[in-house]
Amino acid sequence: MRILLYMSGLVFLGSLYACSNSAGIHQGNIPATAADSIPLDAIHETAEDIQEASRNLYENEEFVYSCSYVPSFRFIREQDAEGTNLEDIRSEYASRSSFLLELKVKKYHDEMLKYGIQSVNDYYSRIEYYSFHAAPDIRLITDSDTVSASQCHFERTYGLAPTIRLSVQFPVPEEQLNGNSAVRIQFFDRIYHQGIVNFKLLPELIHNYKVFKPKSHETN
Amino acid sequence: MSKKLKYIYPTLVLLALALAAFTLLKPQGQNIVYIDLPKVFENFQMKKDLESQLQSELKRKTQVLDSLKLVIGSMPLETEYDKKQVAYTRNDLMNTASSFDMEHQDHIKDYDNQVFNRLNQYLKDFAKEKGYDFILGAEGSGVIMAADDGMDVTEDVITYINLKYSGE
Repeated sequence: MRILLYMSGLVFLGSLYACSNSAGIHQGNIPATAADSIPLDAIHETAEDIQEASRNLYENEEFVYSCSYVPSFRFIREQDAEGTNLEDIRSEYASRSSFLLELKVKKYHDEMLKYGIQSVNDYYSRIEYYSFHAAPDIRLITDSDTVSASQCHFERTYGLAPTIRLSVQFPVPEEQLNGNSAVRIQFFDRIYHQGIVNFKLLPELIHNYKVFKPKSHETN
Repeated sequence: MSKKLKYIYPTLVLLALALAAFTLLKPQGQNIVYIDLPKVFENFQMKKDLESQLQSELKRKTQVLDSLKLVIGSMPLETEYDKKQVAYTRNDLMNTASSFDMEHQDHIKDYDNQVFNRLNQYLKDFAKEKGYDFILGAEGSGVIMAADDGMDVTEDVITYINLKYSGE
């Protein structure tokens, strides 16, 4: 009887340990099919965790610029997740590396594009610059190479947000970013005249895309 | 014994007061260092990066001007109309060259300002982190006539600003 009690106690402790290990990002591969029923929210939540952890800031008395890495599985959409192979979709996006660049003016709550403009033309030329000409001014620097952005998407906010957000993609597969001592994003600020701003991102975080398992998967 | 104790207490009180007064009134040593400003400026990576940016801009502009010169060189000069066309294009070349030149001068000024602003920001951070009250800039103009080499933090500053600039 006593032995049975001890055994059940051990089983209880073992299950507790397993539950505690299921929280957070840890080793394990992304399941191959939607039949594995990972909630899409959990995938996005993990992607956001990684993105937030990789965030690097540059700030001075006037501006705050930040850059973060966006994992490829952040782009998996609801319609993709239904009955399709998630790994295929992820690998499609993983052929590029994606980053999010955010610019903000301290103590200024209007649309950032209006900050310090002299005329309406300035406002529209800023929109034109961020929409069509900013990509060559954003570079990815690895140990072996410097690459300009292949795509730069400027998120229009129409006065609703006080920040400028640029979704940037480089023609460098995510996997190639591993093994670098550091991954740097270099941004040349032509509009607000702050010069060249470098962001150092840790490759360990970028590596996590391969080994994640959404935390709610095991508990659900 | 009790007579001795009678003198010990006031002596201890006096000593404590003297110590407190000394601590409060002693002149505070100010932490002053200096840097070789031109050397810091020359070795700042941002300055080098902006310089190469400026060079590539200049190269692109030179290419535009060269193409215009090539166009002028290949234009026929047989009729009056041709000559007028050449004159117009030459005029265009002159205007483009002069606007490129003005733009280039503006960029040089702008980039210099950007470098100095960033340098000032990093130097403030450096002074704060290391606890320096003053960082003097020696630039060979006679502001600092002589100083102990031990107070020269130029190399430390160069390492610090370049690390900061690289996003560390």
